[in-house]
Amino acid sequence: MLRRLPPCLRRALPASSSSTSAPRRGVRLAEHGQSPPQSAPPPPSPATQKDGAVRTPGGGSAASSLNPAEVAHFASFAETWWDTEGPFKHLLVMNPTRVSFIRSILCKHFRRDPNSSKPLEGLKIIDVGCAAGMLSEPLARMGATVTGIDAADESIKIARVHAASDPLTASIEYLCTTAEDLVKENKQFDAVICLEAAGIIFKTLKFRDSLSISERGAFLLSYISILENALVVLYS
Amino acid sequence: KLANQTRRRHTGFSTGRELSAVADDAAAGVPSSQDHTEKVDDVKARPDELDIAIVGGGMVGLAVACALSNMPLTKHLRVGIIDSNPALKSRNYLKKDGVPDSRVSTITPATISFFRDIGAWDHVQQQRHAFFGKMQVWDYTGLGYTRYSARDVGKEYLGCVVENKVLCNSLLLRLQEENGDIEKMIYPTRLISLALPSKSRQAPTREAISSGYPPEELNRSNLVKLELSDGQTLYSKLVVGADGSKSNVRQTAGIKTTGWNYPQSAIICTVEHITENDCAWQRFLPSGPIALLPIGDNYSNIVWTMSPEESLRHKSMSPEDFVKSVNNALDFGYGPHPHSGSLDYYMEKLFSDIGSTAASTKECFEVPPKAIGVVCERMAFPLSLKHSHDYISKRLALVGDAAHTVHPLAGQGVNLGFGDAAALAKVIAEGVSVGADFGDISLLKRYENNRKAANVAMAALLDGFQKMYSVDFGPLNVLRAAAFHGAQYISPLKKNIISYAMGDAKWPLFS
Repeated sequence: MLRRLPPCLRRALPASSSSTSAPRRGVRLAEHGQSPPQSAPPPPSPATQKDGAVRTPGGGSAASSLNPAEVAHFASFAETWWDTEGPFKHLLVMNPTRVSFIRSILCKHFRRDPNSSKPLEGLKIIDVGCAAGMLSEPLARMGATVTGIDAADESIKIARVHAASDPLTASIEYLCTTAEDLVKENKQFDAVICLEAAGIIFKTLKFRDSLSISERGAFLLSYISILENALVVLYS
Repeated sequence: KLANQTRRRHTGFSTGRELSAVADDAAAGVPSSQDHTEKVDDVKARPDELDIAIVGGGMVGLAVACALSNMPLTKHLRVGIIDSNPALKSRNYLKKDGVPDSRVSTITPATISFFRDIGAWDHVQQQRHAFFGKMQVWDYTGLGYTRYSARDVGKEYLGCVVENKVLCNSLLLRLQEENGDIEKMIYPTRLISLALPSKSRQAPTREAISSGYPPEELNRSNLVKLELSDGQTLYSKLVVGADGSKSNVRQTAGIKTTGWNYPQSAIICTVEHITENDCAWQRFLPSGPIALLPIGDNYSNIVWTMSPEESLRHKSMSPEDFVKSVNNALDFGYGPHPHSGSLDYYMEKLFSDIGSTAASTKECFEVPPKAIGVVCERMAFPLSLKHSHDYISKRLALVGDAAHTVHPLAGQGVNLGFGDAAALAKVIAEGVSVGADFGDISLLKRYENNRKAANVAMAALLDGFQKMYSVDFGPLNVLRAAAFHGAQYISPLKKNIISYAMGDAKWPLFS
């Protein structure tokens, strides 16, 4: 089953799915646990690990959505995330399809004109686990006021640099933080979107109720299910 | 077995003929946006920054601009057209009563449909244009002929002959309607140099990261830089190369081409008849095809392919001698008229049960109307085939003759260009709809994949046709004649040929 996935995604998923903070339940998680050792990522360098720990002083690592090892792992891929021929090309190829789907959902939900070039104008959207901005940037070009958050500091830096090269995306607010920390700021959003961060799926369901979503807001969560070899979307 | 629809002149040829006008000191400005659009733009665009810069304001370049202006998802984009051709200042209909220009295009119903979609066809209809519903193709040996009729496929016309200047003018007028004031859209100057962003910038270096928030210069480094002959510098997210067969954009981008020059030139001019010509005629002579295309009001356009030496001679001979030569080439010159014979009777019997019969199957050979005078300057230009290895690069797309130059034999060249314009505009709209960077190569790849298939197929067909009819060899002549007769009597084949030549994207032999 694992072999059917592109190598880059297979490398990424075990890391996030093996989060120690995620509760282990049922057959699915058990199969994750049985992944062969060689597919696990190499351990992060001590310096990076230390940086990761330092950046979450308030909540402590126990309360974070991701543990420092996972943050470091994702960060090591940050620079090549936007390369259409790089290790994440499959995600980039998939991006227009999922963006088109999200656009369709949000246009219906907020009764926006789907023929407009900026149908999401006036909406405040948060992209949880934004990585290098593959979703945040399209949302901004479609008119939304976007906040992207990610626990990996380097990802946030890469996302900022990439977004700055286009006036339409330069206004995105990228924050190196966790969802739990953001809750304390009492910010309100029209839509919360959390995609392809399977390791925090169960915690996401928990903090969904914590994040302030405006009346008639939307919440989207999706992940790639290894067992079902499919893209699963939860929408409410 | 390609339908020998009538021909057209290369856009590249027209572009080459345009004189470089002295650049005006027109102030550079951003195309005026709708108030709503300006309101929603978070970041104010600078006057020298465009979304799309179209290099070349010929028929295809204008068509790209027109298509973008006409679609809801793309009409807000800041588009600039770079061309020093003074014809781009035209704001009124061209007069109908003058003598037609010798540079014309035969446009297919598919192209007409595209013009309707972008709102430009109404303007064509206000100016000189001529539909034709019949076509006759025959061979100088007198061994075969084919007649086509739009009625065979249930249509009103096979195509429409329009002067190139009318097509350009119609697109300009439509742009004016859509954009209010296109003075700000047109840069009446020439492109001097083009600097494409390097690929490595797509993944910022660690140095860029460590410097904190990047300087605004990073913004510009991701755009294409265009230096113009009037001293201006523009930056654009996407550059469209619509500057013809010898494309400066293509050469600057380092995109290679494959192709060859045919040992042929084409003479084009306008002739007059006693009565109106309502049919397209094409005869294959030893030196190449001669076409007679109706353009209305007792005028027809001549496109005559011959050797360069012969074309020089025909260009310089007296008008009276030229008219004699034309009439000779379309009548008994080089060989007899084809006529129905006993063989035709059996051919008709044999194939009459295949599908419903095409009405033109029973039509007899006709002699085209005689020309009584040449009414405008004769022009000659060399013929070549050229195909670009790539249509796209990072933040760059080639359209029309810049991407592909084909033999004018079937008059398909500019229709391929309009197909490019429609496809590129559609891909850009798709990109905008999903918030993509429409200068991104993975998006532009869709345009290239779509158009290369269509263009390579047509170029190969035309090239094969050119080769088959450039040889005067007895057995091959008979084979050629049999091909004509096959096309005349096999109704399903004839209908497929007609549909393909009219712009349907199906192959003639399979469906």
